[in-house]
Amino acid sequence: MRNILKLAMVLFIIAAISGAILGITYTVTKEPIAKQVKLEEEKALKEIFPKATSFKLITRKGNYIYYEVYIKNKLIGYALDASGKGFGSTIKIKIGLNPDKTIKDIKIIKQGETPGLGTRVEGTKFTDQFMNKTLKQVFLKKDSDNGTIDAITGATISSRAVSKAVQKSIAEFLKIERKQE
Amino acid sequence: MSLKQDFSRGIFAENPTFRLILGMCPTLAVSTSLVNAIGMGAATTFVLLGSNILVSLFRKLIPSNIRIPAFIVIIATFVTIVELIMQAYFPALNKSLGIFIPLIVVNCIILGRAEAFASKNPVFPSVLDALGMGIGFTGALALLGAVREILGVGTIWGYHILGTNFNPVIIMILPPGAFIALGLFLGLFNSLSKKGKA
Amino acid sequence: MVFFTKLFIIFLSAALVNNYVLNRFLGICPFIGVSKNSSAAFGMGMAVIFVMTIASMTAWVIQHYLLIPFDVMFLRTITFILVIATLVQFVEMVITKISPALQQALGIFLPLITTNCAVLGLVTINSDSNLGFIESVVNGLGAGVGFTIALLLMSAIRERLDLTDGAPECMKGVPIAFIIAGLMSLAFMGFTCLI
Repeated sequence: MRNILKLAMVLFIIAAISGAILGITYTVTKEPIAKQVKLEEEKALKEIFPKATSFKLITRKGNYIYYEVYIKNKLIGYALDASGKGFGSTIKIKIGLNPDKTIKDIKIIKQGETPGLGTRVEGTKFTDQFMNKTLKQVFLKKDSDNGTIDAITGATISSRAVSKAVQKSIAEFLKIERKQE
Repeated sequence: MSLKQDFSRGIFAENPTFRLILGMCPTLAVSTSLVNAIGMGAATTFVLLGSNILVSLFRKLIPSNIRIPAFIVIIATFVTIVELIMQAYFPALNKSLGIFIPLIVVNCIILGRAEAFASKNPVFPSVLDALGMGIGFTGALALLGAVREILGVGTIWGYHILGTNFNPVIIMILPPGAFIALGLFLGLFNSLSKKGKA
Repeated sequence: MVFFTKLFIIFLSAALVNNYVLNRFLGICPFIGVSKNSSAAFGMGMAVIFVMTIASMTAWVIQHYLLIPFDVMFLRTITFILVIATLVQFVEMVITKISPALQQALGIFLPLITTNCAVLGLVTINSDSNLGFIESVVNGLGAGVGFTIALLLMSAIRERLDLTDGAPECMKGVPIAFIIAGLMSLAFMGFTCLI
């Protein structure tokens, strides 16, 4: 019995030390991580709208949020968030819309797809296909006759996930916008 | 066993990848490009170094019947540190390595070295052992990563080297290519080591 | 009905399309190490299905009732690996008490599962993709079944391979096993069109 207590003590001490070390590391890295996430967000917005001077966060019913993008006081578009389940992870996407609600560009914010395969949805070769498309066109070619998006070889699921997430997000945005008007 | 041998063992004679066939999962998964391979190698070497040092320091204090859970906690601690550092300072690399960063915990090389070497040797040789094994692992990953990147994408470290007319062998960066390339490398090293002995 | 379709897709996807061994490179060590004969492969496969399913449940509960409420998600990796290690021990003790026959069949494989990265990979993927409880369990079951399928196929091929003398000396054993795995992986890519 005493032996077991001793073993438990040793393990407890090791776990406590490890917890302490990790707590410290977490506190130290917390801010840089949060900063990276924010930086990434701003970078994505800036990449889609390089000339924009301000992004106004709009919150609608049901916690729906999007950005209105301005140059000075002129509205030049909207930025939406989208996410969908990919091959092995949730893919998060930022969508830029023109004032006429066609797609300006999309950027993949976060994904954990298969390295070298699904990760290629991040490349401009894939995302550029979404430029200037309307909601009805952003289907994969193999999924719909109106589709205009080529899936990435070996990463159909990731490609489809992006396409579906974009469709869903824009459809929801249009619905909410219509209600507002 | 001399110190020099402690260091060089992991690089050639007992190369974790090609000779001991350990840590295959990350080897296959992240060797899609040279950058990923080096990043993974560095992360693993860091964990290996940290766990070898701590295990060796505490080797006389940890009772032998609970050594495995104790080692796992130590290793997992270092892996979490790597996870957090990657998220904070290397977001791009963190993204492309994905789930294989937390999975360093179950890389058999690390637990294997803690058990077979660090728990029986003083700190300094354990450091050398960790560095040797880490370099051996990184080298093997880099070799595989370079070959797969050149054939599969036509680039090395992101730079195009084979010209624009090169039609990449996409299969090399897909899962089957990983298995086949590693199988051929293992065969190559087998035959090289046989020749070395003869 | 929609829910069941979704579960079925998760199952198929985990077992075939995104096969944990051949497509995600998880659990390669036992895949190469325990595939020399079919009966061992079957035992290992069953043990993995068992542990994966239970690990999915436990990890989900711990994540949603401990890690998230206390805001300590950064301890995820360390918690999950300890949970898996404890679980494997616990399963072993329970099996020994309840069914000595099962213990005989699975006993030697259980300790190996702790360091099987497929299990830790599975619970990390579950947590990364924010699956619900039932979805996690189905994903775990599918992953285990996929692992068993790959392992059984591999062991059957390797048993046959032992009877021939075709491979060059330096390729015998593990190297040729990797080449076979590559061809199997190529074949499994065909399942991509399933979902």
